[in-house]
Amino acid sequence: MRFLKAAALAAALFFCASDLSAQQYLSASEKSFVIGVGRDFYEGSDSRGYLHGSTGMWEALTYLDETMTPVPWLAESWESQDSNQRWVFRLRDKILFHDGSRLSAGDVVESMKRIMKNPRYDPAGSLSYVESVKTYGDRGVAFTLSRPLPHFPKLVAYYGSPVFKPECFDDMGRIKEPVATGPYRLKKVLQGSRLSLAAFNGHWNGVPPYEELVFMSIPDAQTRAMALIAGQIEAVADVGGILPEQEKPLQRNPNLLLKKTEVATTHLLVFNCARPPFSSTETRLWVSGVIDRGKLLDVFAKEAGVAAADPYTPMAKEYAFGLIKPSRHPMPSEIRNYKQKITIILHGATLQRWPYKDIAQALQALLQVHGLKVEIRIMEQGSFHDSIKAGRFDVALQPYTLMTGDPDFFYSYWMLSDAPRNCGWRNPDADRLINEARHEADGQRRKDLYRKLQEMLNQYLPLLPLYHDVALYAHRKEVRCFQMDHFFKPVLKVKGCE
Amino acid sequence: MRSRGEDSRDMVEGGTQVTIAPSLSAAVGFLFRRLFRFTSVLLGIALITFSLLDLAPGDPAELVLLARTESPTPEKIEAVRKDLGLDVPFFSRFTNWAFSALKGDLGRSFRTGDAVAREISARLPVTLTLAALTMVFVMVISTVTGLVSGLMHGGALDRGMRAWAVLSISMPDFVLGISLIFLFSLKIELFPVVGLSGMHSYALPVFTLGLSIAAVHGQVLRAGVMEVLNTDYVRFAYAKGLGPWAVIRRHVAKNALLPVVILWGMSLGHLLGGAVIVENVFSLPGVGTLLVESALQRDIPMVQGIVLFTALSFVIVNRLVDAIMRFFVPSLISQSGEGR
Repeated sequence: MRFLKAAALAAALFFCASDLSAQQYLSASEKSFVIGVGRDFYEGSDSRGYLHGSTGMWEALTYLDETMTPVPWLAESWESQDSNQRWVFRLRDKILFHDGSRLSAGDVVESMKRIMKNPRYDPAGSLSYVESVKTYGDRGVAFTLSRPLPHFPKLVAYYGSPVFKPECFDDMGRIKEPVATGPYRLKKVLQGSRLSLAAFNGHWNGVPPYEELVFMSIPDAQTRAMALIAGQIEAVADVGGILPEQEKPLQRNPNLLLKKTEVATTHLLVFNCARPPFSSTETRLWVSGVIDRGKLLDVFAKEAGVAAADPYTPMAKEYAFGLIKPSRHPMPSEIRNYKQKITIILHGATLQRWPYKDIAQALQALLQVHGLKVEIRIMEQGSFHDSIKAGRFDVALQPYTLMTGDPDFFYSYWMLSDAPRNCGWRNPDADRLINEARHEADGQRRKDLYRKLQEMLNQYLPLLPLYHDVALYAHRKEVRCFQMDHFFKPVLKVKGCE
Repeated sequence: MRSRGEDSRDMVEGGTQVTIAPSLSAAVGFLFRRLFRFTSVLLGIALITFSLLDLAPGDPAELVLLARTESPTPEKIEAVRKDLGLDVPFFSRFTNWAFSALKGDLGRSFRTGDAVAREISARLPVTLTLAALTMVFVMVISTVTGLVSGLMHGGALDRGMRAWAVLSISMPDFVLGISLIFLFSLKIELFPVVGLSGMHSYALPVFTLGLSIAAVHGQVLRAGVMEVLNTDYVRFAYAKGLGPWAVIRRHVAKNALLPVVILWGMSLGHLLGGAVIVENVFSLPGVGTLLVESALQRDIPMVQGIVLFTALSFVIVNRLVDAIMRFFVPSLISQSGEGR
C-alpha cells in the first residue's frame, strides 16, 4: 500500500517537475500571501495563543535567535536584580493592540497571570518559580522568583509569554475574541481549513509586507506539494512541511525554490534503563557504539539532518560541547545471552515526518546480526506515551525540541530522577548537577556544570542522540523574500531583501 | 398487541365488516416505543464509545499538554485532569455527560476548549455536501451500470463494466485522489488542488469517494437484475405481451433495486460519519478528520459528540429508507410485522 502511494506520488511529482504553469488558482490578490501548513493553526479559545505562533498574531516579551539567545521582542531590554531572583523587562514604547489601544505594563502583567493561573498554558511549569509579577514604573514588568534563574529571559521567550489584551479573555483565561499586538490580526477562522489574517498597520515594527496572510491547512504532504506547484499556495513552511523524499522532485521544478533551515529538534534513541537488557550501562554503550549514526543519516535522512554530538540542538551554541561520541565496546555477556525479544516502539504520527521506521528497521537488522530477537511496534500517541510511562518498551525513537534554548529544559525532562521522561536511569550526582546548574548565576560555572552533565551523559548513555533536524521548506520563485526560522516560523520581512 | 397494520386494516367480525380506526392511545404507544428504542440505541452507542475511550491507553490530560511537545509536569497533568473532570468516577462522568447531552449541551472540546456542538456544526456543511453529492453520484452511476450490465450480462459491455468495477474497488482512495489532482488540477487545470471555492471543488472528492461505492452497488444491482430476469413473473409479463422497456421499468428495475436502496441508505449513513482519507487528500475540513484527530488526542467530548451525530444520522437515514421501501412495496409492512 505504501509502495503504491509512493510510486504514484513520485510519478506525479516527477511529471510536475518539468513545469506546470497552473496559475488559474493563484491567490486573488498579489497583496495576499498563502502559506500551506500540515496542521490546523487554530489552537482554540482554551489555549495559550489562540492561534499558532507562526501566524504572527501575537507577540511575547522575548524571542530566541538562531543561537538560542534571547532577543528583544515586546520587551526592548531586561535586567536581573537581586542575583537573578528578580527580573525586570522594559517594554518598547508605543506598542498598540489590534483595536488601536496602547499596550501597558499592566496588560503584560495580566497576560502573565493568565498563563500562570491555567495549568494548560504552562505545561512545562516554566513559570513555576515566579512568585509575583508586577508593573515596574511606566513600561516595566518585574518578576520576582522564589529561586534565582539566570536563564529566565529564555523561559518567557515565544510561547512562554504570549501577550493579549486582558479584556479579551475571561477569568479562566479563555480567549473570546483575540486582541494582540502582532503584525497580523485575525480576520477569519475556518477550522481545519484556513486562517485569514489582515495586516495590522499600527504595528510597532512598521507596516507588514502583505495585506493579507492566509494559512491553509493541507494535511497530506503530496497535496501540499501539488498545491505549491499549481501556484494555489505560495509557500510551504511548517514542521514536516516538505518531506525528505520530495526534495529532489521539487528541486527540479523551475518555479520553486527549495530551502533548508536548521531547527531546534533533535532525534533521540531512548533506552529503557529500568529493565534488562538496557538497564546495563555496558549494553547501552555497546549498542551506541555499534550504531553508525553518520551512515544512518546518509541513507535515511539524506541532507535533512546533522549527526548529533550533543543531546539537544547545537544551535544553543553556548552549551553545545559536542561530547556525545560513543566509542566501540565489546559485546557484553548479558546481551549475548539475552533470549527475549527486544521491543522498539515508534509513535505513528512521527513516521510521516521523519524516517523513524527505516531507522528502527536498520537497528533491528543490526541487532539481529548479533543474534538478538527484535520487534518493532508502531503505536498511536496514547498507547505510545502510556508504554513509555509504564516502561513497556526497550528502545524508543523520539523527537525533542529545545523550546527554551536552555539545557535545563532538556535535563529536567529526561535526566532528573523524577523527570517526566526519565526512563529508569537515576543518578544522584546528575540530580545534584542539574539542580545546581539551573540556579547558578555565574555564566562560566554554569557552563562547566552542563559540560560535566554532558560528559556524564556520554559515560552512561541513557539515551543516544541520533541527529539534529534540518527542515525543508519551499516557496514559489516570484516570492522574493521568504524564510522559515528555527522554530518553523515564517519570516516575511527578511533583512536586506525589502 | 395489535400492530399498526392490523389496526388500520378492515376486519370481518361475525360476518359484519367493521372498520377499526387507529386509537390515540395506540398511536402514542407506538411513538413512545419508537422513541424509547431510538434513545436506547443512542445511549447504548454513547456508553460503548465512552467505555472504549476510557479503556484506551493514554491519559487525555497528558495528551492535551503534550500537544506542543513540551514536558508536562505530573502536577500540571493532575491539575488538567481535574479541570477536565477526569478525576470523577466513570459512571458519574457518563451520566453527567448524558444528562447534559439530553439538554443539548455536548460539552467543550478537551483540545480547544470550544463548544463541541459549535465545532461539529462548523464542519457539518462540508460533510453533508460531500455525502449528498456522493450519494447522487453513486445512485446514478450504480443504477446505470448495474442495469446495463445485468441486462446485457455476458456481453462486451458487461465484461467492460465488471473490469471497471474490479479496478474501482481495488484502487485505494488516496491513489485515485492524488492521481485525479495531478491530472485534473495540475495538467488540465480544471479544478483547484485544495480548498473550497464553489461546488466544482467537490467534483474530484465526490468522484474519488463515490467510484468504489458505485462499483459495489452496481455489481449488487447487476446480480439482482439477472435474478429477476429469471423469475416467473417476468416471463409472465413478457407472455402478457408487455414490451421489453415496460417489463424492465415495471418489474425488473423495481424489484432488483430493492436491496440496492438499502445499501444506498447504509452508505449515506457511513458518509455522514465522514470520509477521512478523501477529506485528508483534498484538505476538506469535514467531520471524519475531526473524529480521527479527536480520537487520537482522547478528546472524549468531541468523539462522543461526533459518534452521537453519526449514530443519529444512521438511525434517521435507515428509518427514511424503511419508509421509502414501505411506500414502494407495501407488502413489506405485513412481512416484517413492524410496529409490534
